[in-house]
Amino acid sequence: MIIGFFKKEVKKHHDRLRFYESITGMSKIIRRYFVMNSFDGALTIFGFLIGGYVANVTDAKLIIGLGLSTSIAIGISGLTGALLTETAEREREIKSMEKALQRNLDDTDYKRAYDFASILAGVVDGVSPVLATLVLLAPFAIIEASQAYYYSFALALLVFFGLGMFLGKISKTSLILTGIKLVLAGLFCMVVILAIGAV
Amino acid sequence: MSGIKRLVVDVLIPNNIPIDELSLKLSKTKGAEGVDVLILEVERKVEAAKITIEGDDLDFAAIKEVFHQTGASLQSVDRVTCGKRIVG
Repeated sequence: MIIGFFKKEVKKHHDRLRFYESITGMSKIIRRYFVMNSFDGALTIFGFLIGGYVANVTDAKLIIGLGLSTSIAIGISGLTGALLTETAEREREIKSMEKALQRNLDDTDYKRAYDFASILAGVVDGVSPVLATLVLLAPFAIIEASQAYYYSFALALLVFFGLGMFLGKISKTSLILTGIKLVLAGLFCMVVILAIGAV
Repeated sequence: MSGIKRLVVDVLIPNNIPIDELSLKLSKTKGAEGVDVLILEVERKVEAAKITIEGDDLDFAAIKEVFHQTGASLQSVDRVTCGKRIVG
């Protein structure tokens, strides 16, 4: 009986999500936000860690503390930015549709679909950079800072490659090639920071 | 059973609403046995459609609620068939 109820609930939510998706096409926007902001977060922390490495910072607590506060700031920036822009964009869309339909769309599934898409975009935009950052900072919580840098750099390149592959999957082009493109962006960031460090 | 057996309405549907979704939702309303959605005109943001719903003792309030929730706009009720058998 409980399983039956659970199945019914899952189906109800699945149907609703499918309906929301068909109206708003939110999955495209959300995956774009996911890749864009995960890369944003990972690259920021990557740069931050290279700076720490060049300056020979070996206090793991300090690195984790600074890294986490940076990631929270990126997360909140993503959340508010995406939520506000998506809400504004979708409000405009709803108003123009109301005009075409000659009716009010308040309190309808149609409008709820747009609200849901805006909130989800904000959450994904806020959470994805924080997740990427946590992956990169994880070695500092486990091993000594001087060693953790190397593991973090390797993880960063893996994250870049993974995000690139995801982009490749979306665009149905070579996964390896798009993966390498993002890794090169990360390496370019590394070279620039190291050059500035050398000066 | 008596009650509404056939209903023909004119609606404006947002063009991002898949008509299969709309027809399935209508077919799940009480008493509905068959739904036909015919698109008459496609505009930039909306589509004008003639929707025919047949069944036994159709629940017009539930049908209007489906239109309301999906964002469709009921323009006119063009034909209502009631009674023990369909006439015309």
